Amino acid sequence: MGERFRAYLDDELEPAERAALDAQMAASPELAAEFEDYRRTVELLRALPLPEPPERFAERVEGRIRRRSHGRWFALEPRLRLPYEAIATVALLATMALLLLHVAPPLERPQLLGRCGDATVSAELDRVEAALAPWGELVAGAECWLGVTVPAAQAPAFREAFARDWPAWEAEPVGEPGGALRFVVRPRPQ
Amino acid sequence: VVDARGRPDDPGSERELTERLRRRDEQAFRELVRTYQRPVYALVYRMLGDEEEARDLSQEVFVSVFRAIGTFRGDSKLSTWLFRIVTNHCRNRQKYLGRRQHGKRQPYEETEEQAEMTGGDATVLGERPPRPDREVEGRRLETAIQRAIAALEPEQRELVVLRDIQGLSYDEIQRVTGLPEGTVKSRLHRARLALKEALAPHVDG
Repeated sequence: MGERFRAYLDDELEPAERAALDAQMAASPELAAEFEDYRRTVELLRALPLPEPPERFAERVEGRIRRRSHGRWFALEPRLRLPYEAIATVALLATMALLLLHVAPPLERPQLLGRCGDATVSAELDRVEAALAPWGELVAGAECWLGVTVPAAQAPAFREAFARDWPAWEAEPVGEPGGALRFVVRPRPQ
Repeated sequence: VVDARGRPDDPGSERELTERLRRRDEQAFRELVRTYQRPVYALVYRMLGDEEEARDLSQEVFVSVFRAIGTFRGDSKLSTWLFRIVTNHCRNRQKYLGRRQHGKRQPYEETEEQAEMTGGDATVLGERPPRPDREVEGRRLETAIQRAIAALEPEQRELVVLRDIQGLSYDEIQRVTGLPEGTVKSRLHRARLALKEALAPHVDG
């Protein structure tokens, strides 16, 4: 019976099917009550209000984009824009360097642990992760690779776009879980 | 132009907006956020059920949109592509929160006292009754519904939110989730049955 309740509410039943279900409900108060509860449940869901976003939402998003991109993502306006983020970063680094020189003992040079320990890779990984969001579901990840599951229908477009936009990275197919393709995304070996 | 559930309803303006976004037009980005912030925030909030998480993740969605707009080919509506990003982000965040056993927090456990205290600012279901006691009742009901939604399996919750709360068509849902039509409909039906049981005290009579 179940699916017919959904089809009835979505107006997908043929006139004959609809009439048959109406007749069944007329003959069975229990069935009619069950359908009424189903209909009322859907009605409650449809009446839920859309919550308002928090105040200054747009400004917060814009601020987040400026911070992440160091002011580079928006097209430059005709007038010269002062690189506030860069100035602030240089000032902060200079202050930290002064503090380290005068307060902290000299640090040992950190040992590089191959590409997985490469700060450039780690920073890039964050950007790659964001770029993957429209394409599929992230299924795993580590310091230097990501797993993503892409619906099979979108997989060719994904591969084409990924190869174009991220030439220094590769997306290797590693499985086909239920109508999708799973890729491991990582920096290309040098 | 947006429809009753806050979704844009004008293909011409959507195409123009997309083109301007590709050119990294700052003003276009503001228009995008202004137009979609409510449906995106609402979708994330109903999926995650936590205001703090919803605030953070809905911002991340727009960051992703702006980063990836160059890959949007216009094969689907901008809103469909946007909702796909939202659902992917929500799936990932739910997994992350699950790993951190975030579920123990019970974000919907609003007490009766809290419901009464917040009743003045409350959004209520359906028509807005003028009496304060009905407002409180409406808020309690919303809390009960949100709790029942949160108890669903994530893949069922996603469909209930997209179809019954956000009001997407089955075709749009297929494009957003990548699921076949039959799976969408049967899974949605099972989700509604589970909600019917969970909300029986509010539904009966």
